[in-house]
Amino acid sequence: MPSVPQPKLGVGLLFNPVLPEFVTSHADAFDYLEIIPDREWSDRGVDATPRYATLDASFDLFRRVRERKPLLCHSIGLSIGSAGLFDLGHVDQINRIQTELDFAWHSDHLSFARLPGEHEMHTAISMPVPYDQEVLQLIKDRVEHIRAEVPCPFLLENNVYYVDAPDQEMSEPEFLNRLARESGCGILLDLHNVYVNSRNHGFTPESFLRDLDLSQVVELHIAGGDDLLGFYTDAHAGPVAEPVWGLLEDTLRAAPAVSAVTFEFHESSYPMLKTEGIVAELSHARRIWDRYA
Amino acid sequence: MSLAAYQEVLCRMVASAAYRERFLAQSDEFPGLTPLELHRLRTVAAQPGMRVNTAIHRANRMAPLHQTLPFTCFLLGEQLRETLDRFWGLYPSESLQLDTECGRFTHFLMEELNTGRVTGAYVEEVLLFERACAELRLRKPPLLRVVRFRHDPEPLLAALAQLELPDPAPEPGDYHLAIDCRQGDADFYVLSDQAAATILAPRS
Ligand SMILES: [Fe+2]
Repeated sequence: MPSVPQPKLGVGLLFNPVLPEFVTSHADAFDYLEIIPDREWSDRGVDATPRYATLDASFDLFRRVRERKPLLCHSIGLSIGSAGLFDLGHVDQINRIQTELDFAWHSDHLSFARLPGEHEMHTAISMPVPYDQEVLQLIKDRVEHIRAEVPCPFLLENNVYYVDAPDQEMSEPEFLNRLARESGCGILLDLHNVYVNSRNHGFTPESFLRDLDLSQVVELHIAGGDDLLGFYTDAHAGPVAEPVWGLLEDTLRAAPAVSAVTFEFHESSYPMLKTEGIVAELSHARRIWDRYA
Repeated sequence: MSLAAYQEVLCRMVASAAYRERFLAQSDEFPGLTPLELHRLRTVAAQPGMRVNTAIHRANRMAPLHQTLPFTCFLLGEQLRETLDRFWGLYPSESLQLDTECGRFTHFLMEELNTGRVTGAYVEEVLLFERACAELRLRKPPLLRVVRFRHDPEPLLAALAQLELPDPAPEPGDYHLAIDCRQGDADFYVLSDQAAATILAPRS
């Protein structure tokens, strides 16, 4: 990946609960809509039948959007890096909604958050996996299953981390490069995550981007963050962090195959952004996109 | 399954500062970890970023409750933090599925109200009202619910919608508020005693 070039989608928006009105009234502001399916269904648990109850209102809206624009699926619930748990039911469910909504591709996070057990645990924060050969093999096998099951490309997103485990066998870019080349998944490169990690762990985002095989990158995420306990976090708070615009330019210049740039913000920062703010961020991204894509 | 043991310790350290302290003091007693994993866990447990993980974990666990039970959270006010600490102590890890987490918290809070650990004139009725609304958003049957209020629900809910306490205090009494989703969107109306008795009567 990307052995088959993906269609150029342009600049899109990650859907959240404050956006139904915007999606309808400002359809010209975005080229595609990315949805987090896990927020639009209720999961009654792996043993329940039926396991998932989808929210009718959201899916009605997505079907209407899909008539005019591409949709992307960005799941948060797979926990692909969990050692003792691979949720085949979740993959099935993604496949079911893919059949209905025809995503250009779907994605999840290179991390883990769930622990197996009689009462499954969830950390409520996505944790980094150790970048070791053993973990690479584990995730490669799972990507293979997902790609066989869901008939559209699959991407994994680089993670944010606030603690840094010592003596890992690979660096993060090295791990991502090998994972993409050896498993066939594409990379969803979250530029804000790179910026967050660079600030908290003392490296330059440029060095990270130099080490990453940008030919494997299909989609970019851009966002803003916040300060917390002396760290800079990936809070998706309001507008895109200023340095991320520069990283977007650098990346699009160096990676002309990138197919999409998605603006993410958390619904709690809507009072700060408002409709005009969302339009402004999307327009800013589009000006850069038009220059390089 | 060493990686599984590593991940479990890491997650428990994120969820609980007390667990983290215990691990740092007695890490030799944690079974199933390789020397490298022990080294990694000891290192990250001592890093300041672990406190950030815990803070984000807590904020993320609070978010779905705020989203589904906003009036209840408002009414709990200063009791909210301690109530959540007790809730999270009982359920050290969350179900990120809104409905499960909200159901668990409702059940927990009802017990806290019954034992008097949590108090508040309107908390119980508003909690049951918000829980019913949350279930109906998922179109869980029955699509007609009746919530019993001990205060006039109209001024009470109107004030809470502005995140304010009702002033003057709503009239006490026995009220039955219907939430009717049988035709699609929710319709709210206060029932007469007779209508409430008919709807609430057990069916044979
Ligand atoms: Fe992202």
